[in-house]
Amino acid sequence: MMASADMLAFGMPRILAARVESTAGLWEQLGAFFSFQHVSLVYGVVGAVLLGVCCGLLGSFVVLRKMSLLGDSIGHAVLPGICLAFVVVQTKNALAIFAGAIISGVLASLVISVISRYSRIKSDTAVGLALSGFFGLGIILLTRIQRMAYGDQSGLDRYMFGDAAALGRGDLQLMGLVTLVVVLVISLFFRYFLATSFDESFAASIGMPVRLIQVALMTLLALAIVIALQAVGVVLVSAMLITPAATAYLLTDRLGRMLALSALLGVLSGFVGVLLSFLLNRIPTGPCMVLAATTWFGLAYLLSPRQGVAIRAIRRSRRSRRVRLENLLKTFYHELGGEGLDQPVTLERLARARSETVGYVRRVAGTLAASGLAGLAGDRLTLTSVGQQRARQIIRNHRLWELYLTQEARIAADHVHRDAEEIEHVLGEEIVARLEAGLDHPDLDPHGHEIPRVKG
Amino acid sequence: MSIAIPHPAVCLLASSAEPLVRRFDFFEHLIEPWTRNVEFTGWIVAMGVFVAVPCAVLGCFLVLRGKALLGDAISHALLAGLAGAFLVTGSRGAVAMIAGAVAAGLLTVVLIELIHRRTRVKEDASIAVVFSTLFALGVVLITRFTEGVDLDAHCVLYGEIEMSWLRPDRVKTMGGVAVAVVVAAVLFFKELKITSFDAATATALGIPAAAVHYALMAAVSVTVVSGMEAVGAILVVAMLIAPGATAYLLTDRLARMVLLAAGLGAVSAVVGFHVALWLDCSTAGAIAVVSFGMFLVTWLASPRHGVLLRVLRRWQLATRIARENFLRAAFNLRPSPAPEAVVGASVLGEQLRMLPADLRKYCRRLQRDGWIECDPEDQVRLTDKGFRQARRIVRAHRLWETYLVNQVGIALDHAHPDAEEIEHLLSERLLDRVDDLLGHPVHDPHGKRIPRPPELLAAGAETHLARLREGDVALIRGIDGSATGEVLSRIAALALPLGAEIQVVGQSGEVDWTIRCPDGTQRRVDHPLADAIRVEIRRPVLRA
Repeated sequence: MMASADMLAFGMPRILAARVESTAGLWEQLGAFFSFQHVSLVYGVVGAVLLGVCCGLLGSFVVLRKMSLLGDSIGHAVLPGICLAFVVVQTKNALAIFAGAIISGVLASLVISVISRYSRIKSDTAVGLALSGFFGLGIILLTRIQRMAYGDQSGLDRYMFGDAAALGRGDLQLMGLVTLVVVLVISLFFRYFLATSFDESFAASIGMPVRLIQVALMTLLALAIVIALQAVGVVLVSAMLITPAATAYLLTDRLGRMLALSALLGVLSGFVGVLLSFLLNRIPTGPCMVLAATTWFGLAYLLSPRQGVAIRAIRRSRRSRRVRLENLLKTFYHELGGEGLDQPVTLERLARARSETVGYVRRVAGTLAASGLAGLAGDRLTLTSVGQQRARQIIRNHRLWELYLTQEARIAADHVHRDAEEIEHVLGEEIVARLEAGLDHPDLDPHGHEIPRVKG
Repeated sequence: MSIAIPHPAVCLLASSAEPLVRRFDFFEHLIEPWTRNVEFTGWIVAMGVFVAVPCAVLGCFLVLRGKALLGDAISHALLAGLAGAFLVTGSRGAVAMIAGAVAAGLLTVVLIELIHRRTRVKEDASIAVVFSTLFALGVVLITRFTEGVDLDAHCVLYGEIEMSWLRPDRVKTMGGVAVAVVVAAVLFFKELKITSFDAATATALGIPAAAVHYALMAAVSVTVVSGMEAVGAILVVAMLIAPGATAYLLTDRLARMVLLAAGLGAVSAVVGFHVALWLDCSTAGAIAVVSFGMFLVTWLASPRHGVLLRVLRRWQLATRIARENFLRAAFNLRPSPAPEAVVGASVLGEQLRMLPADLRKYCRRLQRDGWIECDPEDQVRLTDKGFRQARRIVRAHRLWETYLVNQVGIALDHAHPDAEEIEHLLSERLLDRVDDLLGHPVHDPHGKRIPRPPELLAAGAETHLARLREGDVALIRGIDGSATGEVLSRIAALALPLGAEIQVVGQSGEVDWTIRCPDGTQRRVDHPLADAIRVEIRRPVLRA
């Protein structure tokens, strides 16, 4: 029984040989890395970069088609093909093993689509079934091979756990070839992939060979997965495929940009992964690449301009802050009855009117003062001229909207207040101007209150 | 190596010391394990069953909830939990490991939901991102901080169920987990059931659907982590999905599905053990393959959802339709209405658009099955059986066309294609109802005669008056039991002589019948009454 460290870091000494000394400082190690003196280091970097491009491109389609876990499944399902190829050829002939892997990967994806089409089993269950079934078969074959008196079978494990640092020249050539094929096929048939990924029935209706494109994508996927296996291993292959693409999906709405971004993020993950693994010493490259990819994903998850969770939370809190300010301005207006908005009002009076605590009103008043809309002297709040203007605007928005709802939408006067309460904060200047014009510059709202004029 | 590569099959047999597939020995692989090495066998099989049963039970709910792959995700993400628990507590004790597992399992579920609920990234991509990240994190933590600790990635994937007999305590622990899971599933069966099918109803009934969901995931985590050491992640995933999916194909009732899944899981553990003995390979792999094989067999052959059966049924339908179309063409193309009239095969071939060679082959097949007779000059004659079948189809076709035109109001020239389809699917009883509804018409809208089985109208047969046509002679036999008040009183008003011989002398528009009674008087009977009066036919007129 080997400890996982040894298992996963199979071949690691070769890349570590490039390190200066384990005691040397960070800068020296960085220098050693970026001088790219060591062949194995260069191989590792090139492999990671090729992998990033290949998986990033294909992953975008996989994410869009909601087949993310298919990658995981194919990754596991190539094992029996690899083992059978080894049994048949009797050596670790890279090409034979590659062919075996592809055949069994494509077979698994066919089994999945047939099961989910022709039974009531849902596709996720079908994916899980094929994954465990094929992998189980692979394990049987692997253990058989170990029991049979074959020569050198070590290295079959490499497909299970993977190691970017152990890539050889032949592996890189294969990777380069696959990447080239993937890039070529995708750029030549971009329109087809685009149409089928978003609307399969539309694509079929304009005469695209939907099935053929699906099979082509599966085959490319199997190719990419097999080369990725050698670098990151079976479990992490889906990360290389999905994470950069999901990140790009959070960042853009255009497929072309998504592909480019996803490939770029893949390359970045690969490169940073190799670098981290080199710097941190002894940490295998695959997991480092995955963690790097996840870091980008996490950043996009929080900070993406449109989709980012943190960005949206900030926007939401800004909006609610504005609503709080504007509501206080409105109360101010009501309290002074629209006359002499320059008079001071005590916080206590405002708090009573809003049914809030004085402390809350004081906090909001503080924000008002800070943004130059009001002046706070002790317990008395006075609006600046900008503040008065804003207060009038809000009241005008509210009353115009009420009038609009009663006159144009024919809603009863006692039902319109709630709705106006919401919308008064979001009406823009232009819409308000058109409302005013459309309602013939009214003076009174449906409740008989005056609609304040805003001096432009 | 410079040897020419022989044929793969030869390769498998000859080139190695041991063949890839070993010879199966009934005694060595099936009997002896239970007679000579009982302890060895017992512990391994017990371990297999203890893993399979709780996984299968929980797996049913995962499969039903469409969360089958969450089990896979959790089993990989557990690595981070185990490493984390070890780092925090510094021990490999069961409590720490289980706590770490549950934490990692719940973390996986929560993270996946955080991603796919809050952004437009779908659930499948979220699962892939989360489990691969947690697995990678686990590997990094282990390699970085836990030197020489016995947390084995090989073991995480393959497991070492073969070692069970050396560690009975682990088997006992797993047994405890199995019992706990089964007991919990029985106790909370109602909650699990309702939340699996309809979470909204469950919430309305006051069952906390989210809490049940997380509890289920925690149970999955505990089961997976206890099972993983023994049988490896992959077998755990197989046991979580395959038995549940298989049972799902066999039954529609949840209780039965769960029981069936547990049984299938246990059976695959036992069978897998023997397969592994036979092939001398990984037991975990063998169990996984056996359970997948069980699924495939069920999928192909299950009585209700089996693919083979459905293919067979479709094939039967297709051959029946082809045959019926042929017989109908032969019926329609007869030069004379007599049943023994012959049709030239070439005419048939033209009508059915068949090539002469195909047509000849097809004719021979139908002749073999007794539908037609085919003479050397390629003249086709319907046998009695074939004639009756053809008449049935033509009747269905023409009745349906009449129905579409008269009742549904479809244009005459649009009724044919639809009738072409449905004629093969209408049952005899439904046809009789349609016939009755239409007032037993003589002709279809194209003016062609609607054939009816003569048995119904042979001398001595009992039927309704409504089936009689001009010229028929019959005895009044009585009133149909289904006749109701108004109809009865109107029949009474007709004062029909019971048992007397009547003749139909006129019939108009297929809505009323004029009959002549023995005393020479004539009476008009409308359709509802004609349907309620039973008659015995004496002398029918000939009809097509």
